[in-house]
Amino acid sequence: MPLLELRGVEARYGAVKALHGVSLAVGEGELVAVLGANGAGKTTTLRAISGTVRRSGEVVFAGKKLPRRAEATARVGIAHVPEGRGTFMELSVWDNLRLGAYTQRGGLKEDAARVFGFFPRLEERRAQQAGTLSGGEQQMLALGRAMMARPKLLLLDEPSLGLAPLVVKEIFEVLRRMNADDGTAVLVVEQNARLALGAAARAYVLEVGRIVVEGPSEELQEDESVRKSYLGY
Amino acid sequence: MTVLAFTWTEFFQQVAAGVRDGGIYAGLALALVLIYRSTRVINFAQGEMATFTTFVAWSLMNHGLSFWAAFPLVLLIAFAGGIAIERVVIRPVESAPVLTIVILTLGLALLLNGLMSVIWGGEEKQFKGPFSTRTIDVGGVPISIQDIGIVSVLVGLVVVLGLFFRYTKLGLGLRAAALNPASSRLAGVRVGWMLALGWGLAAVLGAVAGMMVAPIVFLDPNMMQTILLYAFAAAVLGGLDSPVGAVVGGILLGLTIDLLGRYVSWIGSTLKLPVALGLILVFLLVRPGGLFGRVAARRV
Amino acid sequence: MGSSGGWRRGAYEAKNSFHNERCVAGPRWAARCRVLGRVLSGAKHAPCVLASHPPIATPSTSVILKGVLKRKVGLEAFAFGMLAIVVALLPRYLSDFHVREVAYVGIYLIALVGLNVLTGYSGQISLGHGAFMAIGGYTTAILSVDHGVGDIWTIPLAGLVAGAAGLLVGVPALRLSGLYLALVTFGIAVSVPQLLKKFEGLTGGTSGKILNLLKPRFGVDTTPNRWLYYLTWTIALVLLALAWLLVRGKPGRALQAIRDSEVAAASSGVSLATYKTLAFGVSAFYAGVAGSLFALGTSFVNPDTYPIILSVFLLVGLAVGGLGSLSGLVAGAGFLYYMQNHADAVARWADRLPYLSVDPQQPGIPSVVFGSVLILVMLILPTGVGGLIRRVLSPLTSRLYRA
Repeated sequence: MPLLELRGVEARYGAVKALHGVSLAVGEGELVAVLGANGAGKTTTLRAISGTVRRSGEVVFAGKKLPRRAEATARVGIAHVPEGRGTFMELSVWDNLRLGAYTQRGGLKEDAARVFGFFPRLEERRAQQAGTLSGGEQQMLALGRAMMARPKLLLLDEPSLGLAPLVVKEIFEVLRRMNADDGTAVLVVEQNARLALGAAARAYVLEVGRIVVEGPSEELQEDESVRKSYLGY
Repeated sequence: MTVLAFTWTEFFQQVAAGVRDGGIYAGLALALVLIYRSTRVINFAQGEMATFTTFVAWSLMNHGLSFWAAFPLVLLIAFAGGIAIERVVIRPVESAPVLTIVILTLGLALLLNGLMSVIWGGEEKQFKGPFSTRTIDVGGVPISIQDIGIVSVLVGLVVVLGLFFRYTKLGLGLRAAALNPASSRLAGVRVGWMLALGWGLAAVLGAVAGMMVAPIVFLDPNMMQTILLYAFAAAVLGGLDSPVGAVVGGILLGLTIDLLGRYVSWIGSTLKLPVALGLILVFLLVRPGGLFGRVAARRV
Repeated sequence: MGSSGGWRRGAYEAKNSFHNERCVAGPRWAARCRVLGRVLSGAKHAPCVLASHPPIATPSTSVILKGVLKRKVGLEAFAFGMLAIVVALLPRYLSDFHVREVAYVGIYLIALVGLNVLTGYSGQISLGHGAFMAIGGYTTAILSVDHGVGDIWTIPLAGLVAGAAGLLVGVPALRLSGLYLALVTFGIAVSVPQLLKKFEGLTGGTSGKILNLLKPRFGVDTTPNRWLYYLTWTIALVLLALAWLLVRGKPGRALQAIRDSEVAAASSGVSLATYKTLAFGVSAFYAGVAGSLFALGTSFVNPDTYPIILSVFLLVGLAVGGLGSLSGLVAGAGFLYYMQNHADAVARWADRLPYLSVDPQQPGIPSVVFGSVLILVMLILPTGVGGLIRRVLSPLTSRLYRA
């Protein structure tokens, strides 16, 4: 049984329907990518899972139906790094990490040490206001915050957006290690298909709120027609 | 008005009184800021809530409780009352325009004010405070024990609150919920409860300010109205978003008003308030966001 | 950078706020709800940002929209006509005393229409319009008592003096927004009574001034109360029509543009300073006229004629009425008058309810009644009477966006 399963999920923003029945699954410890053009519904898919958009259809996590409240999703072990990273700009780096661990009891120091192990730069700036960090550092903080929650599933929205290639590489390396070492399942949304397919085991391609292609990353990469029509490279 | 000769002793006494009054404004201003930060609403009922809880304290003391026995009880009642108000009155219109919520708090103020008249009658009441009005000598200046006591209680309260916000998980949740509700929810913070908790804490702050001011000014249903206005001014002066600003703004305002009223004869007691507000206006023209407030950059 | 956090948050919240039915109901409402949010909070980006821009792209939609707009104008003209007819006929069926009461509703309506121009269209908030009413009332009192100006001729002058005061306030208001502006205007509301007491020579100090009783003119033969009624409602209807022309015309569009985005408005060539100050001046003019009529009606002014709370109550009237709707504003004005003067009637009614025992004579009861009714009204009609009317009367507009 997969860790997360979506069956015919629809979502709407007011009058506008953004998802027209999306079904997908993420296995235990699996790294899965969601690809697609702007406005295809990638971000909305993540938001439908974490309950930050009005949705219908079934979302099952670890064998139980997921309630449609963001707080509750966080409490069952789903960490969502949203579009724009959701950093608490006015708070310090350290307080941001503490908020990441909000649902946890104890173990704050050890978890923080692990985050700092991945991103030494965050330790240097732990007292600094998060809003003053650079874009790359903020992405590291966002990932760090998610790590602090010891999630079973990480939902990650466009981690590469607006970052320098070197930083992106670093971020994806950490992502891979979180997935490999801790067994954290990851559902990552990316515009950069090549990058995402390189890291993910499987991928779904969305178009206008529907899944049009799915399969193992290698297959998608090799299928010329898929690459040309949906992935744009 | 007769102009008395200036003496340093009297000047320092005025300063002490100014700090005391300012402390009371600061307490209520802090309550306003707490609610403003999380709901972006100025709570017009804050003063009435404070007076109401002070009446409760008065009743408890009339039933033979000492001040310090009544004190924690009243704080508990205030806390529960604040939460109840948020749940019953504010919650249902959470997503309504802010004007609606502000007007609701105004209705609440009217309701509480009337209720106090109905329950306790409109006439002024003596409220026996915990501190003696005897003066003691502080470096050659006689200052009343009451003033020192009031300031210490308020300082203590601010310190405890500061520590609470800084070092406890709940305090962190409260701050986060006020700053970024969407992200807070994703982090597992129960934002709805945090808002209610904010109202509870604000009610507690108001209750303390009320119980501190009542021994000085007599207790009646309208006791806090002018003080609420000063507190509003203090909060704006400090920058509505900033708790530190509220405290600094309150004390500055208290000092300014007391000293101006005493030493500038044409101001006296009638023009104290207009002059203070005028000064704040001038200050705001220079710094539109107050002392510690952030002025949002303009964006297209 | 702090602001950038706030900005992001605004955008993020906006997507979340779609569950808010009221925001989805239509662009007009969405804009208003956003503006008030911003106005009262001082926050630059309140929720509903995206809700106000539903995708309207297809030609068929825009055709329907044009129809809706036409229908809206028609509806407003119809409401105005109905109001005029009711106003003309009402005195036939009412006693002299009740006519006087309805005249006071008209006075409140004038003040609310002015406040609506400021708050509803330019997005600025004022807690000081009671002070402009006081300025108008005192202008009338001083001119008619000390300078022998005929009573009704003081009305436009009172409006102009108050309007000038409004322009003066409008200038510093350019630098302030939201609650900061609210505090400053509230400061004016607080200061004016004190100043009236201070400058006794001009104002008569705490004892105030006694005006001559208002007498019918132009050969009209009627009671003073009916004269006050006709005077007030004629002025109210004229000013209402003027306000409607103002907000429908170029100034109105400029003000709305400013309300929605100052930067965007400025870069399209709208002069922020001119229009924001103008809005203050116009709304203060309305308040001045209302204050003048109030003074003429009561034949007496003193600093307590225009208490500080009056400014706050005007805002209550606006919230109960709902921004931007004529019938809503009439309801708001009626509510304001009724609750201030007849809370005891509500108390007597409540006394008859089971389990409730309310003594209308007891001090405090009027306050309790006013407060509870106000809370109930706002809980039941969070968008005011105007919001309700909009929802009932324009199912077409709402359906368009709910699709």
